[in-house]
Amino acid sequence: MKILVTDDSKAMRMIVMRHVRQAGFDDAEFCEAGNGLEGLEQVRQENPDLILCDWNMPEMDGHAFLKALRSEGFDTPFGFVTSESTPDMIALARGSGAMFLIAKPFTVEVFRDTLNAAGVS
Amino acid sequence: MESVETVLTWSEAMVDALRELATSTWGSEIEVLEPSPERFPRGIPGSYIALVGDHFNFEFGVAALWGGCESLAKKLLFMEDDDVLDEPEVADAMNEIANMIGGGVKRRMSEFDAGLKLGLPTFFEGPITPTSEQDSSYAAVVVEGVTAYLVALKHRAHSQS
Repeated sequence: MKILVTDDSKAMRMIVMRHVRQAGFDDAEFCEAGNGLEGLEQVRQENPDLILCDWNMPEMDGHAFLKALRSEGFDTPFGFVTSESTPDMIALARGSGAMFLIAKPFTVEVFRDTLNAAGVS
Repeated sequence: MESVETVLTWSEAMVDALRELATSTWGSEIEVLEPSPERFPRGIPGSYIALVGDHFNFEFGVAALWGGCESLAKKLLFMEDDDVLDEPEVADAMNEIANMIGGGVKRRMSEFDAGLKLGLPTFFEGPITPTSEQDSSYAAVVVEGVTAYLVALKHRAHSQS
């Protein structure tokens, strides 16, 4: 499984990848992007199986990235990993086609439960 | 709980957000020291993030002596004490801590201002001087053995509009 991790923080990208591996996906391959624009380019080049994406980023935020993906015809499963976790933001994420939203700070158990519930395997 | 109009209420939400980060990330508790402006050292490095809404306008910061910032960054990245991080990596990790705290405050306080929007964090080293239009609150906490300072600056004029 190839997973694109999009976050403007290199530290957070490392933490997300660590948590995904510890959640039972230790054979996952990762590619990385620092914002939505870079993420779009990675999707075109790498065709990942899953996208894990921050919300607030410079250049292109996660919500705009998701909308751009869908408008280009990519139906790659997409989940937010973000400090934005108010009910309004969760509803906006769902309404835009995100499979899930993992709120920061998170635990390995949250990753495991969320990815399993979303049918990621 | 104090009135939502007071900066202290938001500062308490900040402490709660850091407590949640420590519990979920490190499985540890934080110790809250007695609040005192004199306890906050001037000019130490920290990461600051804006939370701006229809009724309230804030900057929140998490600051520590440089060694404390390094230590918190390594803790966040699950690194050993003798591992080496360069300055941008420490700043990046501190920004992420500020981001998570800001998000935690937003979640806790959004019922009082549905329009709250979180900015992008900035790390810098230098004195924080509230203007005549800002109320400030400082909290000193010990997290993972590091004394850190939580700063909340509330723009008074915005909240009265």
